Amino acid sequence: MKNVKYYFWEYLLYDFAGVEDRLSALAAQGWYLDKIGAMLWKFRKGEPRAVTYAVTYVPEASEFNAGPTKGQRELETYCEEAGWTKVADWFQMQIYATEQPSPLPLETDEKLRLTTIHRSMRKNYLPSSILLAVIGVMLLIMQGSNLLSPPSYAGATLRSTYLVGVLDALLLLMMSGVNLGGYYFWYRKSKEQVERGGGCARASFYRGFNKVALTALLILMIYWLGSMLAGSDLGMVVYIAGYMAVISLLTFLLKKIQRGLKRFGLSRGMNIFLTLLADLVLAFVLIGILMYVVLRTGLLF
Amino acid sequence: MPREKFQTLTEQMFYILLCLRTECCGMDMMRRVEEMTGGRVSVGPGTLYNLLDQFSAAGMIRETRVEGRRRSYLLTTKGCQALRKEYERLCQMTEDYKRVMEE
Repeated sequence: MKNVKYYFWEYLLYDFAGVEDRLSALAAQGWYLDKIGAMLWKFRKGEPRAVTYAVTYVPEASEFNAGPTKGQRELETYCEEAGWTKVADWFQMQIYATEQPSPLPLETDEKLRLTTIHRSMRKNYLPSSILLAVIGVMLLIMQGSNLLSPPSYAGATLRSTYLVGVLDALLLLMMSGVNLGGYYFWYRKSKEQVERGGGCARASFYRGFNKVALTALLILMIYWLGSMLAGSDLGMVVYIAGYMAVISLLTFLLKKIQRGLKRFGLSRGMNIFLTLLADLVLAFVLIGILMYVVLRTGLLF
Repeated sequence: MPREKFQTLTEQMFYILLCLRTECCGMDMMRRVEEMTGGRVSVGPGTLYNLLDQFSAAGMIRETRVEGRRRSYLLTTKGCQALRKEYERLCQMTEDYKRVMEE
């Protein structure tokens, strides 16, 4: 029986209740959070136990910090005093666990919880979601104008690529919209409930939509690749596979670089700057190599 | 008109500030608030951390000592004024209640 499992983590950063419930449910089946990846969370097998997970937020926490901030260390001290053990952190979210039967909750002030979550979302979740939406709009405009007025040299293959590009951009835009709009409505509803003395709202609607959207994206890509192969357009399929491999390698290398920079104890600002610089250089080199291969081999012509 | 931050204090804010009339370590505060209120009010560690952070930023408390992992805080003059103001507000509410109930 395997001792390690990876889950595609479909929860968003502000969905604290969803994360807590899911982790507790997995612990009851004997699966314990081991490591948090970009999209996959790693779990290790153990004995099923009744473990309560709880999360809180530290707005100044960042993936680019060399180590835990003074605030994170202070929080950990208070949590240990109350019987909670630190499990992991995920951007600004701090994840704790306890096996006490009736533990003192990490958060006992819902209004403060909501304020802290909002401060944390403004740090990177909201800006990055807005950026994704902007990229979606730009892609839609670019691919849309290519589709409506394709260049004279564009054959059927290239035109179908523009169509897929438009559909991808639409899906990206829809997902960004749902995630941003979803946060806005969750925040507003939570604010109303908290003002009335209740707790923050639960947020689960987005998971279903994101699953459908990602599935649709995958089906679209498989259909398009399949139609390329059926039309004997192996060159385009190889190019797309090469492009996806480059993006995966770039993501992997950047993660390694980011972790390596943290070991040097650099400041958050310097870490961000050097990571972005590495991103630019690596993207230029890797895509440059791909394009060189494409042109030399005449893959797309 | 938006309410000014800390214009009114929640119970947890009130009791944390009350704790800090004398120098107190963050780790002891959770226990002291429960003792002070007979278990009626409890402050979770996440709430405690965020409140201390906000009070510090607002100049209502100051850090006095760091001994290993133990950080101690003390109320400032601004914090004393906020506590006093909240006490007077609660007294006023009590007076209003008595007056209306006696009518």
